[in-house]
Amino acid sequence: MKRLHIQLTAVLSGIILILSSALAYLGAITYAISALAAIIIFPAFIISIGLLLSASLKDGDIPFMGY
Amino acid sequence: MIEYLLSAMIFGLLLHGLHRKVIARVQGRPGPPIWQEILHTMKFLFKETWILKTASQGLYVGVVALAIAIWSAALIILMTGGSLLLLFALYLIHKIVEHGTGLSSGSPYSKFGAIRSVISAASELPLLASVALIYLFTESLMISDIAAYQAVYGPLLIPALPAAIALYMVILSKIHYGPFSIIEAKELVSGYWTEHFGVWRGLFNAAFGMKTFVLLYTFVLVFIGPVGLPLSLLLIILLMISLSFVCAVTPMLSPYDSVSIQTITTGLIAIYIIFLGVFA
Repeated sequence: MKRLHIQLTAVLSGIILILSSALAYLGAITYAISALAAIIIFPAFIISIGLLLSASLKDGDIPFMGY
Repeated sequence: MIEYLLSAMIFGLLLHGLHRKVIARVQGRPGPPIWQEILHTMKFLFKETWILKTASQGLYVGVVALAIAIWSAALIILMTGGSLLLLFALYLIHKIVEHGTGLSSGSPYSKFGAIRSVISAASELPLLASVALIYLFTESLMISDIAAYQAVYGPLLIPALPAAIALYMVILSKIHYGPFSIIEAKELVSGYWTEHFGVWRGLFNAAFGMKTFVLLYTFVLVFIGPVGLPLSLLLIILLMISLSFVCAVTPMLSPYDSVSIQTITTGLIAIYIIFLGVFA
């Protein structure tokens, strides 16, 4: 996954999470919709933030597979 | 909503730090600072990260997302006074996270951890017994109804003590360094999550911090009642310290003993439930 895609995911999911919280507080959407958005979007937000922080993203290698 | 999720995550990581600190003090060591688990998680997030070539890539990453999602959902259910059965269902999905984590990488260490996760399904039995016993008292499994019951009749801790013991055992079986933590035993390196490193490990840490907070908060809400946030947090901390004491003085059991004790406990509680349901 390219860094640009990860950045886009992080920004978009962050905006959706903050918007859904704000709209629920203002009463524009129900608490249930805000909760559903949080449950679905929060993992994407956290994972993309984590990947953005990582030192570098590399191709995989082969782990210990047993003797 | 995001503010609650992040707060629960950070508080959960602090609880893990407290856990390590108490275990160390009981064992005569200075131990790490309480915020060590937060630093630990941050350290993992800044590491070089990749997905193993031998891994099932979707599952390898998917289990991390699933772990965060289910404990986010569990926290929201708690906050909204939802059903205890839904929490139970999410707890069972966590089992899929454990299996998936262990089986996704292709490493034999993590596979053994996943296999142990299957046999430690006995740790779900006390939870089932606990939920059944709570229903006998409150005639509802909605957390809001349980809270209303406790507002009238007082905390469930004393009348439903076996259920509290069962849930305590469930939490103990999910806590790090515990007597029932056979799925992450050191003879398997780190068990089911041996091959999840870097960002994946850091995010697992964060999700499991949330899990610890949710389980302890469930215990307080269900057996003590809604006592306000400051007192709830204090009770959660005290509960965590008591669990840490148990972990510090108890060696990790063998898989056979672990399953036996959990099954016997469930059996005893089942007898108590039948007695209450039929004779009382």
